[in-house]
Amino acid sequence: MRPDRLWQREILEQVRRRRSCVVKFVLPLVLTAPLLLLHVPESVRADAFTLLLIFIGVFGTAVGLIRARESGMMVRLAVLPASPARLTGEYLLTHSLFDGLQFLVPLLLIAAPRTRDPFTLIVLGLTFFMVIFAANAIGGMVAVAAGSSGEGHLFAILSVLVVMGLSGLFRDIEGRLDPGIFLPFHYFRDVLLSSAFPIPGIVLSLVVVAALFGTTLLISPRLFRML
Amino acid sequence: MTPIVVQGVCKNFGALQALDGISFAVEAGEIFGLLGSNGSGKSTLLRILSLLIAPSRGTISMLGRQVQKKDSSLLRQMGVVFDQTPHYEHLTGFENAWFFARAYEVGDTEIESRLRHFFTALDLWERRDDLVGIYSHGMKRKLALIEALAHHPRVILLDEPSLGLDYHSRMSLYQLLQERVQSGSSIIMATNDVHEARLLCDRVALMRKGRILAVETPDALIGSLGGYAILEMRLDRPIPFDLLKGVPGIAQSEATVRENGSYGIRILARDDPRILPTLLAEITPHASLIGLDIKRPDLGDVMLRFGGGADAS
Repeated sequence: MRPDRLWQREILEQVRRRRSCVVKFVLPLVLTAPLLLLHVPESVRADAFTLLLIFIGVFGTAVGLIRARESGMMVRLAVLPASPARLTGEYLLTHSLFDGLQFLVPLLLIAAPRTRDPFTLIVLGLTFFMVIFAANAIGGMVAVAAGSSGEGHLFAILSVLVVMGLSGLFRDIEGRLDPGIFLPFHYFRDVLLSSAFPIPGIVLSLVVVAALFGTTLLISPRLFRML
Repeated sequence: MTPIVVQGVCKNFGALQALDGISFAVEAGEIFGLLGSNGSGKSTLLRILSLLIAPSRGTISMLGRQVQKKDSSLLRQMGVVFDQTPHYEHLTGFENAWFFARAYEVGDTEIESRLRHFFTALDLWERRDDLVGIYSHGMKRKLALIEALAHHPRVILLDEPSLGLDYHSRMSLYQLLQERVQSGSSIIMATNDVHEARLLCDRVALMRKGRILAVETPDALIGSLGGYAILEMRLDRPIPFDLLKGVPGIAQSEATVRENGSYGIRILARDDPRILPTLLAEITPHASLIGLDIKRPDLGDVMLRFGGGADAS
């Protein structure tokens, strides 16, 4: 394949890095294995899996973009006629897709014992990808804000902690649902836990994801600035 | 229409004034050199011209348009090579070049033939399907040049284009640049290589501390040192660094490479027969003269004279 667009180039590079590709697909299975094999409360399982998605999305994108900027690649891309928003959008969508593929099998393994209802699985899949898109968009914002790799790691950790707190993850050791306010992470966790999916939650989650993505694209020209 | 017109461009980074009142124009089919020592502002100027950073003051008109940040239609007609040339290391050289050519919207059918031409000219065709990760520094540099030229830009901005290239590749690069110039492209090239500037540039701007000291053809610049000569002395031991400072008629002196146990010193002096005895009187208490060559100045001496001399102003 000869890459015409940035998203094709990203896919090609991901596929070419075989070792990294294998690690990326094995790691989610390894990380979720304790959640599947051990007797952990279902709320902890849902919390941990949601957190894992947030963590991978935020860190993967933030570190990838910061590294590209530090290598000088963003400056090279900045002199192309394509807009920063288009380049950033293609990058985020491609990496979101990869993150989704990596965690698809663990998701099915976690969800399968709870439900086989196709409609529930579709909603679960939708909210799953919304979580990943949102996490990648936050990773993009982290990369814009950070001036170096060190700052990037710090901002990524802070972002994950804030998102985790706002989403109501790991708040209630009694197993009761603790109301979080930050969609779509909170909503995904609820769907994973209870197989209930109030429609307004999906719509609101979509709005939040779109807002996060839109904000990242809006501030993306700063990603291509000279350090 | 003059393709590139720069007027009164200044750039400040906090308290540092990187560029101060830069003005020049580059015609179609012209290679314009920016010659100056490190930190003279060449790269900053190229970054402004490539729309990466905005000037603090001044205006730039390129291809009839006032330059603003991120003008896609202008960027489509520009080819840029910076001093840093990162690539996608897990893609082949050809895939990298293909990606950049497509980003500049070159048609599928044209890319093949153009890339073949450039890869062959720079002796990279046989390595086109190797991953860039195993390319040498020079090969990566060649690839960056291909990526900057393959879309046949009307404005080409090059920062040290031949850095890391072998002699044969340099000559091929010069030929490629001449091809582009003959088809009407304008080239601005920052370089420290005075021989390259003399060989390639139609006009050269001598830069120092963010200012342009002179803009002329290389020959005219060398001609400006018409009353000077170069004395290349070989001595049996080094002399004190500031020994020749203040000697009447000496414009510039620098230590050169030690050869066969001797120490070299290169002096730009007024073309006056009384200079040599004065010089020898100063030097002989410290070292013995082994050899002496007297030459006409070249562009490097002009650069030294303007760029580093005590009386550079």
